[in-house]
Amino acid sequence: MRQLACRESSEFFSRAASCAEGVLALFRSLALAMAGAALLVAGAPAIVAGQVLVSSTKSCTRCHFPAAGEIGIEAPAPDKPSPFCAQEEAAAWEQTDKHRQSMFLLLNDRNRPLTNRILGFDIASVLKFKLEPRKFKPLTGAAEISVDSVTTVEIRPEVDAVRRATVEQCLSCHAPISEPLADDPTVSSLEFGVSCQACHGIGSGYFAAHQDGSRMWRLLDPAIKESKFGLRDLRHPRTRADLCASCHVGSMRDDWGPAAIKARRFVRHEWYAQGHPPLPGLEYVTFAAQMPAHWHTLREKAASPKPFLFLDTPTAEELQRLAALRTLFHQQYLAREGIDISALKDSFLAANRASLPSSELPVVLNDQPRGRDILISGVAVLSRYASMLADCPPDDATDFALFDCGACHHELRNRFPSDARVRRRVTPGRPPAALWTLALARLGADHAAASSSGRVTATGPSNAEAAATPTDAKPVDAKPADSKPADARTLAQWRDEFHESIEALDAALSARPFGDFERRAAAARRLQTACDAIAQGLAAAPFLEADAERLLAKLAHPRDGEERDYHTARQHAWAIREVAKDLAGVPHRNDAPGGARFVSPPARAVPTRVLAALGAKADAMVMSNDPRIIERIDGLFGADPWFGPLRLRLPAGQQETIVGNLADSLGAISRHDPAFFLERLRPIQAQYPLAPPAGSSTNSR
Amino acid sequence: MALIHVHPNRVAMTLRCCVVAFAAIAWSGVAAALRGAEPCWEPLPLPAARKVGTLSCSSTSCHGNADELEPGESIAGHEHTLWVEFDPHAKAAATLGTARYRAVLDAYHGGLPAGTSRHMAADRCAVCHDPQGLAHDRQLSRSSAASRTTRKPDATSGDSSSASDNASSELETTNLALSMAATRPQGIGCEDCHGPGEKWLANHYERTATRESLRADGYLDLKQLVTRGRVCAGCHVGDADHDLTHDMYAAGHPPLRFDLSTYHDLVAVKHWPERERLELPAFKLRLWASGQAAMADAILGRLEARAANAAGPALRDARGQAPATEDTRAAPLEDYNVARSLEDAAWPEFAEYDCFACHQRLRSVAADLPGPGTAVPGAAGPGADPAVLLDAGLRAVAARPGARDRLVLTAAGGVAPGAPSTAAITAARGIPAWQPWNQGLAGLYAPEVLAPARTLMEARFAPDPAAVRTAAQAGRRALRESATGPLGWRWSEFAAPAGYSSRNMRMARRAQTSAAAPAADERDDSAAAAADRLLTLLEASPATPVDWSDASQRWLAVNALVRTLGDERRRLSLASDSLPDLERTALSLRFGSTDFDWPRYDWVGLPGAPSAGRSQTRPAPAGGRPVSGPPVSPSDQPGPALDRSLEPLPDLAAIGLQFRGIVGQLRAEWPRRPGGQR
Repeated sequence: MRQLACRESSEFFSRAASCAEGVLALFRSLALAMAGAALLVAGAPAIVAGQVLVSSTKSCTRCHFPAAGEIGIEAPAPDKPSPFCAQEEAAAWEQTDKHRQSMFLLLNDRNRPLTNRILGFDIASVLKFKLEPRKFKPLTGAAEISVDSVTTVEIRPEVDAVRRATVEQCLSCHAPISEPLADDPTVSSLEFGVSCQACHGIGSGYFAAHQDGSRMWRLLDPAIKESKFGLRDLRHPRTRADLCASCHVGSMRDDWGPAAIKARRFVRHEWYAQGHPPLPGLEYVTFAAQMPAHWHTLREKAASPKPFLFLDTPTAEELQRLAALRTLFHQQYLAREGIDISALKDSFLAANRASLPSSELPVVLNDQPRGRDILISGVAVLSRYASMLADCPPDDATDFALFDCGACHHELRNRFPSDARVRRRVTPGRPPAALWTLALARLGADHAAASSSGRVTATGPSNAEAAATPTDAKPVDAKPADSKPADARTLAQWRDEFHESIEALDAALSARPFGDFERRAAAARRLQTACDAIAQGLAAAPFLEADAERLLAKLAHPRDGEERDYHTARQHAWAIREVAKDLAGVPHRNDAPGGARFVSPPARAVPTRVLAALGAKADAMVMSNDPRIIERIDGLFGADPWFGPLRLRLPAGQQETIVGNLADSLGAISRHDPAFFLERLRPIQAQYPLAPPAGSSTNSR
Repeated sequence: MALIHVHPNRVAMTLRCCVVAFAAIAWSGVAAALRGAEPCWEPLPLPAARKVGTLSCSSTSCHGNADELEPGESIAGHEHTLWVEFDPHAKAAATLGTARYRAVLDAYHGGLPAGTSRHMAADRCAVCHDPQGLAHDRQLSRSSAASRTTRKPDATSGDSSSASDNASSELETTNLALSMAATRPQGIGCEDCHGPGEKWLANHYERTATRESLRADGYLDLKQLVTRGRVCAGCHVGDADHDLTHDMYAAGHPPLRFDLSTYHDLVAVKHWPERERLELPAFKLRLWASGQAAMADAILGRLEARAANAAGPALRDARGQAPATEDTRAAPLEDYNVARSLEDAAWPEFAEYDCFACHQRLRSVAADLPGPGTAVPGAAGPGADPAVLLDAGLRAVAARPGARDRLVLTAAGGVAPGAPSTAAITAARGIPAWQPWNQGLAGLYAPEVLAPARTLMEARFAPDPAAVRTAAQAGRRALRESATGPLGWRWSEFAAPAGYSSRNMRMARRAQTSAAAPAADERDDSAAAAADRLLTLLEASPATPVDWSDASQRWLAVNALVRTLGDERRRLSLASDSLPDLERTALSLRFGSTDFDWPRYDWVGLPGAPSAGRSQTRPAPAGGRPVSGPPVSPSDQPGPALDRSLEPLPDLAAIGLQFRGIVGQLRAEWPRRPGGQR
């Protein structure tokens, strides 16, 4: 495999390098010229909001969905597809992703009464917009279709400040960035909702460099891309989970960088009371699996190493050419930013070390990315939640939305109230922190400490690990230096800090209803810091099959009455399904447009233990790409493989609306039956018992 | 020993009684002058009174006659016997022996800060469930500083032999006529309702004893129905020291509800003469109205105390010297104060709010909204006037039957036009409504009674406690100083005829009250006017009850009316037609499970023609509650794995319609006194 990778990547390299001094140099100048002529060329960066350059989404779709027939650079020839992207990412977002609709869903005729009711005034008094269809050519190749949409969404200039501030708090999640229109760059619109740049970062910073013909961009350290060019490192599991959580959990921060709406991402309780759908518990892996994918995982990409592992073991000639390209790229883009040429790594894999569990390809291929991401996501989500408690201004310190919904929204006829609630060390009768946020984070903290055994500290791989990988002469910096924790505690210490700060938080919340605000904020801040350190530690360590098995066992054994809380049970159920897919070897869902370009890892036999846990015959030989396996896994928590009593399916695509599903999804919370959930866990428990006490001593807290 | 204890100081007391009576009259005169309040608003109890123990009352020659009662025979002398056998309060001590109680106590104690002893937590329960034991402890600990260190280790362990030993020696030294059972729990005793007996024990049967003189000695005049209601509300609603907090609910305490009239029906066999019900016109209505006054007073007093506690050390510490509230039923124990101070910061106190404001199942409001096709003027485009759009949209929402009409605030904090009720506005802003037990009948009180506190409590979720305290005090003062009570009765009209059976007392009563008692016609008129007021109030209340609590309270009011109608027909010897049927409404409102029959009082004794005297009562089944509720519908049974039944979402509009029908029927059938006005 490795040899193959080298050979094929060498081919690519030869091809790329041969053009370096010729065509590509010209190409680069063209690109630069375009960037310079930004205001003149439709789709190029434009000036909005205080001199900040924001690209238009159309700038992205020119390359990421060239089939849409946009102007600009010509689409690559079919026989020479880009080795780095499917070139149809924007189409998946445009045509199937709910994030594309986030403004339309607020403004359409059906939902606007609800929006107005939530706001307390007509949103049309603040926003100017046109409800009109937009057209696109479906990926299926059918003729152009038109769908209902909203266009040219602008904030009215003369609007009352209070109303504007209220609406901006909506926009902070629903349309964080106002972007210039392709056909009239002087007009900025919010119509794209959660657009490309809302997640990936403002495009003007990386617009030129990332499409540089030398493709050296791919060798640039993602941390530099993020800090100097503004392209968010969404391949890093912590970064992406944290980004999702910034809206799906919330944040009290109001500064989201240049060009972004300056408002908190916080759904106030009175908005919920007026009908804003409740935010479901966030578990990144499940959300990503259900969201129409416009990306490919590193594992998928690593399985077809040709374009990605090039230059792993370059020849002398290749190195020479590489050096020339590096020098050029450095001069062009990095030098003026004061970036050392060493930020350009030797290989794609090396550049993305921070996002990968290891620099070793076999380790990467054997990693169980779902399990690792689940834990990282759990910790990142809790970090976001803790930061909300820590940062909330005094006026919002008692907003009910900061606390566990089920603390109040439970029925009163149970046999005994305390028998129906998750056991936390909060005085009964006082609102606890959102219970579900702890379910996976707790496992993440314990896992990080147990698996590292001092080998990995929160500041990144230890020197011992760095020494063991001679190809990398120095430890890889996971993050820029300024984001390192000030102290270098071991993960075991961070784990202890994690649990202690939760106890402190619970004690602060017990001191009086809604907590002693100062103690609450201090404990939450400690918790946030611990979570961030643990997330880094988790991201830096491989997560292998044995780890996944241990995780599955813990997930199948809820503690402290966790099964009683619907949202906590759902966190468990979601995580169990995704970990089971890892263990069964189920390939990542590969239905992203253009996904066929990337080869799935080879199928293998599903381990009998997994089969037994899924309730299948243990003696059968089932391959991991057998569709029945995924059916079994999806159906683990109910006859309906998608919904079931826990409603594990999210209305993620454009075909369903969250509001339309509310009656059922809210009903599921009321009808939650812990006994049913425990019953479903039993076969898994039988196959994956908890480790004996000696091994689980760290988990007995 | 105590069983044959027959007041050794009788002679001395007789000699002293003139002095005492004189002093008492002087005191009450001063107190009344200072307060300008009716006798029914005296502080409860009189200061510096001490309890003498139930065994001082229960001797066979006094109130403990255990002979069989013949039908129609006076219960005089049998009071304690009947109370022990039939009254739910007699079981208070037994409640504290149950496993359920221990579980609740454990949960509550577990939530208190570390270092809080279990018996300190138990003292919080004892103030209502075991006032006798608490009084015993307190008097014991006062009598000997040493006893403080040897107090029983655990109030509920059941094994208190060492405490008994200590206690018996203490008894001798203190020479108090405490009950023989010197251990806790002792439960509720006579004096916990009738007043501490220290001063009146020896003279309350004397010919010279009068209502006034006894009141001055600390005897509570429970024939004054407002006083009776306040005594009940002291525990069943709460006050400064009888404070059932949300922490306790969360630990598993069943919900508190209160209605004086229906609570009377729960006491199947009463230990007092029931003829009061027929002697006083519209007795049940008076009882209901007294209960409403007492409940409003208790709710405000409780809020005042909670706010004072939350306002900070300045107000809290002031309670040590001068009570921050006007009424403190008993000087609190030091330990109890410590336990209480642990919760002092509990502000906002969730128990102040409508349970269902928070404890409601999550449900979609989208269905309430007008769809795109419905005629909402101005909804067409961005050019429409937003105010018109909103107003129209909201009216469309509010017009839907059964929809809880939530009003939308403008961003500037104003209310969109057409706002019907504070509850709706509050709910719209995500702030729970404060004590909405009778939103629909809020006209029962002058606006200055409840409105100031409500305004503050619903302006923001954690309002300034000092301001709340002031508002609650002011509201309470307004209630007490108003010329008339609920339904327009003067406060004196809530006094039932004294019912003492002692020959001396009857003679004394005749001498005292004959002059003051209003003529029968006058009383009949005031009763008819009161019924008319309540019917008018019910007719004027929103067609759809604001919420479940409001509907329940309306049911209780209607129930009092129906029973009053039956009584009046009987009293005036009118034909006994069928009474309006309340059962259907009761069943649709009933909210309970096998564990929480909530609220039990609402649904018992569903109306039939009330009968006079003891034939009305039903004996209690052995070991069970004295009265059984209506049949439990199958949906109320807990499920096999978990009781997954949800909080009720009764069709309030339909219930409102039923109320309309019943009120109309009552209006039509209300008896006319021959020759008189309705």
